[in-house]
Amino acid sequence: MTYLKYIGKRLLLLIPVIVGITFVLYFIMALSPGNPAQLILGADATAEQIQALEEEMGLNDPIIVQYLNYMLGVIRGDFGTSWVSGYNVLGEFILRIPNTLLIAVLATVGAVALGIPMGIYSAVKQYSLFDYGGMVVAMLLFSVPAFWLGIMCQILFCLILGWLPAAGDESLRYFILPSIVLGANTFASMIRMARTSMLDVIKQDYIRTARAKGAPERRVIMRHGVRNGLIPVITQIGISFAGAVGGAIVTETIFAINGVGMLLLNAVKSRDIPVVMGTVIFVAAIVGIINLVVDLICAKVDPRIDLAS
Amino acid sequence: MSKRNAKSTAPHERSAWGLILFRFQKNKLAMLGVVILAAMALVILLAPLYVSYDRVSALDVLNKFVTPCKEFPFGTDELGRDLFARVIYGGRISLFGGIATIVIAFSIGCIIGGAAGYFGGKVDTVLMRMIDMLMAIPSALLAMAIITALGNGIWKLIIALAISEIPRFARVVRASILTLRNQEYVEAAKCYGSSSLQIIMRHILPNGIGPIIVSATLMLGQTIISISSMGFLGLGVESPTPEWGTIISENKINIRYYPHLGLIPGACIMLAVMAVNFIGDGLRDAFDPRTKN
Amino acid sequence: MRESAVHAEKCENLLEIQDLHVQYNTDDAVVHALNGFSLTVNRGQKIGLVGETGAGKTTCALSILRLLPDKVGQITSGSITYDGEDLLHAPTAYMLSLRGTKVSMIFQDPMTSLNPIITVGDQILEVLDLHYPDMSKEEKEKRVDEILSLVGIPPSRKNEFPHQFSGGMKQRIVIAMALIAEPELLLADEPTTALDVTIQAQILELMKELKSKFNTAVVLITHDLGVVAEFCDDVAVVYAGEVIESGSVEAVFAREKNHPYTEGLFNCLPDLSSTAPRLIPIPGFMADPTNLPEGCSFADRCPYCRSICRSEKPQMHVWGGHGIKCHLFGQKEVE
Repeated sequence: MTYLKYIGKRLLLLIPVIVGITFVLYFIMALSPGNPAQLILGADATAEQIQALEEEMGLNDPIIVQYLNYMLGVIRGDFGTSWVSGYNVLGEFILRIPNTLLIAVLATVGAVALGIPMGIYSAVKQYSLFDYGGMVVAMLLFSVPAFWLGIMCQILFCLILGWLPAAGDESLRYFILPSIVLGANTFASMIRMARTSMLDVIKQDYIRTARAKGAPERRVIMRHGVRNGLIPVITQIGISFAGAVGGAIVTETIFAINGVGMLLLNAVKSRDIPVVMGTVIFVAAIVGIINLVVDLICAKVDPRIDLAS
Repeated sequence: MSKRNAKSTAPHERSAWGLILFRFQKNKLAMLGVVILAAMALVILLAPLYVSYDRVSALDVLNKFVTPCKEFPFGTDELGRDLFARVIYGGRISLFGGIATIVIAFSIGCIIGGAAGYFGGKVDTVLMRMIDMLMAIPSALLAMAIITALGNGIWKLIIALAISEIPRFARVVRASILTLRNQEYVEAAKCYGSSSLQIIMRHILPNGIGPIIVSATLMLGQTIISISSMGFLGLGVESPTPEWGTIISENKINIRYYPHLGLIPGACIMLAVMAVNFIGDGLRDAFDPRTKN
Repeated sequence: MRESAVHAEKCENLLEIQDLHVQYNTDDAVVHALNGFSLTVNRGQKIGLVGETGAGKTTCALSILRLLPDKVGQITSGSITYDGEDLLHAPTAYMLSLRGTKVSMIFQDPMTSLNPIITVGDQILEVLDLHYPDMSKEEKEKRVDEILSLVGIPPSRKNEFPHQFSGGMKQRIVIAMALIAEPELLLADEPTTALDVTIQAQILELMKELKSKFNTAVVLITHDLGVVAEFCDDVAVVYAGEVIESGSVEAVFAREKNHPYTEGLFNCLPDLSSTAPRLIPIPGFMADPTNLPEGCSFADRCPYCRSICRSEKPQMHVWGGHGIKCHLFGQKEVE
């Protein structure tokens, strides 16, 4: 019951955030130079045609009126149409989001499943060869730009070795390499976070208490250490997932995956404002929901978190 | 217990800043980072002394795809342009653009976060609501939205990235101020009759600015990556202006056959980011020795 | 005083620490925490370990359980014998079977010594899980309920988490955890320091009760002479990692013969019956554990310090059960 109430409350709180985002974005976009009507009609449109379209789009209204009209549409689920393709923004987004979510989820899950155990093991075996090795790998992956890693992996695994397809999104095989490239950064931060957090936990008094009870080292680490050490890492997973959705822009470009990142990049390049706005708003909503899930997991693991307050 | 005693009675009396510097200097990786970064900065800044800017876009069709040699230390690209000149001058944008971004984001973040933390109450609520709102958007997307509005250009890119980073700085600064305001040692210093300036210099700054500087440094690394990523995507900097990301983007198809076209600019980015990260980690340990393992 | 000493000798030695040296190897220096520490604990004995912060009391307790911080804390020489077994060379499996059942420990700060994300009931039950694998689940739960009511916590609260309890109650839970397996030896490291005075008294009272119920030997680590007088039969005064005076509480507290440091400790206590205008503090600080003096480690602060004190380590001089490590008494005896 508390959970349902909490979820309801958080979802309600998401609404003003989304409204705020639309507001900020709309006014940033209003600063944008250039004439949308001209953009839509192309270079050889006559002045009359442009004027007629401006009238139709409400571009001559005060900006606040334009914003309210936009929001009225949003409430009805109408995020407008692309200035370039003329397609419905929501439809375009829904068409592409599965691809983006697939690589982002694969990347995050893989990075978490590998990175956290590695970080914990590094902390338990501090100063060991494994620990140093893990830290070097984490440092390298943390410093490498995803686009460079992507191109290099593409050349090595697709063009030279021919193990995996280089571009496209036809089957799951196409998503393996993009997910690895996208997850590299998360993997690095998982190793580092889990290690730091675990080192911190191992120093705690309650770990000493567990040892004083006669618990063997394995049990001390697994039962008393890991669960406590995971709490800050779980929060980081949420942040990393948001980062992965942002990072998908680069990955999708390199591997030619028709996802939200590509949609956004093309819209930014052609100044297709309705698509940019819609995409950013939807992604913000998804990230908000992911954060809610992360907070719920945290509350489940850590009894000190009180959802009611 | 006795361990801590030994630390606090260390024989050399140092000021808070001196101690931080001392601990930082003892960190070998951090010092390596400083050396690498300083060397890169010098090479980039002094570029006009040994490579003329003309070579950046001078085409030389007879000498295309030259592998690194005496005449072209980094080789040439498909248009026969000197990669050395392009990489060195590209560093101005990739490296110093990153620094400029951080400086802008840092200053504005300090003002917003400082105001929120210092005034508290309504100011805090309003400012933090806005910050939370911006933080709901992944920063890469926020930056791209701003670029859509502003258009292409180096400074526009820097502003877009800076704005997308402000929320994080504001958060860190506010958190620092809030925790410090009520610290007992600050109270104690007040009771001794220390002046406000003394309190700020001796107690608040060394203890409070630590996390801020550390996050600024670590964010600088990510910003250098962001700038080159944007360049790679064709946003912000446009060809033929060199930038490490655009250089890789231009040569995308040819890297397979001429690896130096990808390896050299890639190595520059990695080296710069890693140096910055080493410094950031070193600063974190120096400011807060408790986190040192 | 004579009586208790004789009584002590009759008992079998439960724990014997001989000439123990422990050091911490930190980045900056080697900290000599224990320097020839010797202590004997008999079955059922309540002994107080008194000394300043940093004197090595906690190090001593951790050494017994071999729980010194990994890689940093190092036992360089000496021996610890528990019930005839050499603990410093015992296999890990033996140490695991010892911890929590035969020897258990109560830590200084109840706020941090409980795992924040496991219910208090489960944390107490874990001791039984570890050491009595054959005991039925119901039996274990029953034992937990019993021990909780014994320490004054309603068993109905066992499914709550540590943060839902006050400091005093947490310490009761820690005590319950330490006693559920009915240990022979309880190491209580400043169990009341972090608590309010009124709660302190309750906890001491509780420990006394439990002590008489289980006949557990107790090593009570404290810096509070009042607590020792209240609770213990015997007392050992620790300074710079060694026991500089030991004996029955009656003998030491009679204040006829004391180590100058113990004398100093007494002078630091407010005495309501005395007309002395103020307390007399011990001048100076404890010897630097990274750089110990050659002679007596108390020499720098001692009002009776002579040249021999600077050059030679004093021996323990014993009268019956009362021993003092000071050159002052060696001289007197010769005369």
